[in-house]
Amino acid sequence: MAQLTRAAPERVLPRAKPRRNSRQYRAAIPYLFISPFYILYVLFLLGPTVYAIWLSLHEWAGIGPSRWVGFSNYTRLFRDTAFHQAVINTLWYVGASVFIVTPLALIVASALNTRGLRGRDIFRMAYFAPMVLSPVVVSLIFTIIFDQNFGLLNAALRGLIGIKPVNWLGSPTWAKVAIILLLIWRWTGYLVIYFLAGLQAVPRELYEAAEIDGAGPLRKFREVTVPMLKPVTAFVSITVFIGAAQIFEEPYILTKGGPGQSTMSIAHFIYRAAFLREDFGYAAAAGVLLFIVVFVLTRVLAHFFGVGREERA
Amino acid sequence: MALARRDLLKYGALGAAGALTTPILAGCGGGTARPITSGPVTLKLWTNDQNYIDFFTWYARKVSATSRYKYTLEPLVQDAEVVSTKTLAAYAAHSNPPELPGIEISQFSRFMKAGIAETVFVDVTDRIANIRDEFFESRWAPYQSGGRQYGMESSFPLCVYYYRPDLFEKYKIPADLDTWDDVLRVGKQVHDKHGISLGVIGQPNGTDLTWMGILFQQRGGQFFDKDGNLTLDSKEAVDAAQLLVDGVRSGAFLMVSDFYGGPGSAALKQGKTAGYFMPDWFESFILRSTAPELSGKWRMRTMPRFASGGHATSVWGGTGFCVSRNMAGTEAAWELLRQVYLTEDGQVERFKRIHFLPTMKKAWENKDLLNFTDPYLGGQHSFRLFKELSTQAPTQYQSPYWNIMTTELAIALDDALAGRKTAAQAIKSASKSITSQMR
Repeated sequence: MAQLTRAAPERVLPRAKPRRNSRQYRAAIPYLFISPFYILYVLFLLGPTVYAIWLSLHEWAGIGPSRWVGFSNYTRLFRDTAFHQAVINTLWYVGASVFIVTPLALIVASALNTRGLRGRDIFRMAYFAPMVLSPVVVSLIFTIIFDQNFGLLNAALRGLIGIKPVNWLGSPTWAKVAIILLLIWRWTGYLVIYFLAGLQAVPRELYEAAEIDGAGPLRKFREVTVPMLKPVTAFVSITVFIGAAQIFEEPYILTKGGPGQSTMSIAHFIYRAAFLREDFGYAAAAGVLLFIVVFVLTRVLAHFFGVGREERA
Repeated sequence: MALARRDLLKYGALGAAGALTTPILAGCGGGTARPITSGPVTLKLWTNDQNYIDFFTWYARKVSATSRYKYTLEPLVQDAEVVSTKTLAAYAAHSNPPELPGIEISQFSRFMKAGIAETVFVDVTDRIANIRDEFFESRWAPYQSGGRQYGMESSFPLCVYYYRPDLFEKYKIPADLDTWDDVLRVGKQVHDKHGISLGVIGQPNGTDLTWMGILFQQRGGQFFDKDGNLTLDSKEAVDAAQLLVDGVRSGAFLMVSDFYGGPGSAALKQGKTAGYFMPDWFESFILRSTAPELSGKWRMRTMPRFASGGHATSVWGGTGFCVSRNMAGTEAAWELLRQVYLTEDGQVERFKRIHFLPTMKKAWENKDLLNFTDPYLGGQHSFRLFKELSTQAPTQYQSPYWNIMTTELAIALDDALAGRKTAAQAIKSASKSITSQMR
C-alpha cells in the first residue's frame, strides 16, 4: 500500500511585487541628467534674480541689516536725473550697435564673401582681432588716441583737413561719438563672423538665378542675401541689443561716465550705486528695471523677426 | 567587484554632497575668532600703493625682533577703489577680510554709511587718546566716523608748486610768481607766445576733483564741516572754480583728458608745462616714476597764493590704515600699526624709506630729515620747505556723501569749463544737487 506521503510544504517564495521604487527611479533618471543645468540655473540666475527683486524693495549698505522701503527705490529712480541720463546714453549705444554696427558687419561680411577675394583669412583675422584684445588695453589706448592735445586722431584730422582739435573726451556729445567709434571698431569684426557663416550657407544657385534674371549686386543683396540671412540677422540683432543695453566696459574705462554723466550707461549707474555709494537696494531696483525693459524689448524684437514662427508656404 | 550603474550614481551623488559640505560649512562660519596674543601671526595688508607694502614689510621684520609677535604679511596691491570694494565684500561675506586695510582717503566715505566703520573697524579713539596731541589734528579728521577715530593717516599730503627752472629761464618766466593772478597773467603770455603752460589739470570726472580740491582748500574752504554739513556753496569755492576756468581759458593751465595716463605723461615728457601744483606724493608717484630722465631738472616752492586770502598750502590725498575687528590677528595688527605709525621712529623711517611726510609733530624736528636732500629735485632740502607748511595745512573733513559731492561737483565744473555756466552758477547748482541727495 502506497503511503501517502505528505509532501513537504512547498516553500514558495512570496511573489516579487513590481518594484515601485525601480519604476520611479527609472522615471527620474532623465531629470537627474538634466538637473545640473537647472541646479546651476537656479543657483546663478533664478536665485539671484529673485534676491535682486527682494533687495530692490529694501535699503541696504551691503553690511548690517536691511530696511524695508517698499517701492521708494523705484520712485527715486524715476525722479533721478542721473538715471534718466544713463537711460538716454544707453539708448544711444543701443541705437549705434543695432543700426550702425550690425549693418556694417553685414556689408563687410558680404564683401569678404566675394568670390575670388585674396587674403580672405588675413582680412578675417584683422577684423576679429579687436575682440581678442583686453577691453582695458583697448580703452587705455583709445584714451590716448582721442586726447584733445596729444591724440593721434586730432593730429591726423589736423594734418589731413586742417580742423581745430576736437575735444573728443571732454565734450558731452563728442565723448558719446568717441565711445560709439570704439564700439564700431571693436564689435564689427565679431559680428562679421556670424554673418559670414550665414552667407556661406546661402545656396549659390540663388545668386545665379538672380543674375539670370538681370539682378545687379544691390538687387541680389536685397532680394537674396537679406532674406536668406534673416535667421542670422535676428540672432545677431537680438544679442547685440541685449549686449548694448548692458554696456559697461567701454564707457567706464574710456571716460568713467564723463564728462559729467554724459556717457554713463545704465550698467555703470548700477555699479556706481552699489559699489561706490553702498546703496545696494537702489542698484538692485535699477537692475530689475533694466531686466524688465530688456526682456520686453527682446520679445518684441523676436516677434518682429519672426523668431520661433515657421514660414507658411 | 562590478559596480552597478545605480550604485555608481548613488555613491557619486553622496561624494559630491560630501565635497560641497565642507566649503559650505566653512562659509557659514562667523563670530569672533580666538585672538592671537603672541607668537607667529600672519596679517593680510591690502593697499593701493606698493610703497606701503615695502615699508610695512621692512618695519614688521624690525618689530618682530623685539615684539611678542612674529609677523608675516600677506600683501595685496590694487587700485584704491578696488581695494575698498574687495574689503567691503570680504566683510559682507565674512570671508577673510584683511586685518590691515589701507583705505584711500576718497574711499573712506564708503565706510561711513550705515555704521559700517563702527561694525568692521577697531575704534582707536581711546587707544590714541594720550598721544593724540602729538600729531597734527588735521590728519586725524579724514578717518573719523560718528566722532570716533578708525584710521591712521599714512602721510601728510602737503601741496607745493613743482617747477622747471630751465623752462622758466628758457621762456623768460619770472621766478617770483606770488599770486594766482600773477600765474594767470604770465601764463597767458607764455602760452600765447610759446605754447607752454604753468600748470596741468585733469578733466573733471566723476571720481577725481584733485585740482578743485587743492585750490578750494587752499582758499580756505571746506567741502563738509566737522558735523558733516555741506559747506561747498561759498565764495571760496567760486574763487577756486573761477581760477580753474580762467586758467584753462588763458592757457595758463593745460587740461588733459587723463592726468595719470598717456596724455598726462605726454605733457610732462614733452615739456608742455613748466610747473604743477600738486601734493608731495606727486613727485614719487608721477614725476620720478614717469619721467626719471628729468631727474635734477625739477624744483619745488610754495604754491602761489590767493590774493583774497587763504592758506599757504593745501592738502589732497592720503591713505588711512585701519584695523579689522573680531579677527584672530586684530590685536597683533593694532600692535604693528601702532609701532609703524604712532612712534617717532616709525614716522622718521617712513620718510626715509618711502618719502611720505610725517604726521607726528616731533618727527618734523628730526635732524636726518631736515638734512635730507632730494636728488630728483636737484639736491633741494625739500623736507625743510614742507616743515614750514606743515603748521599751515587746512583740515579735510569727510562725509558719507563724499562720492555724491564728487560726482555733482565734477558735472558742475565741466559745465563751467565748457562755458555752459559761470563758476558761481556751477557751484550753486552743484550744492543744490548734492543737498537734494543727502538723505
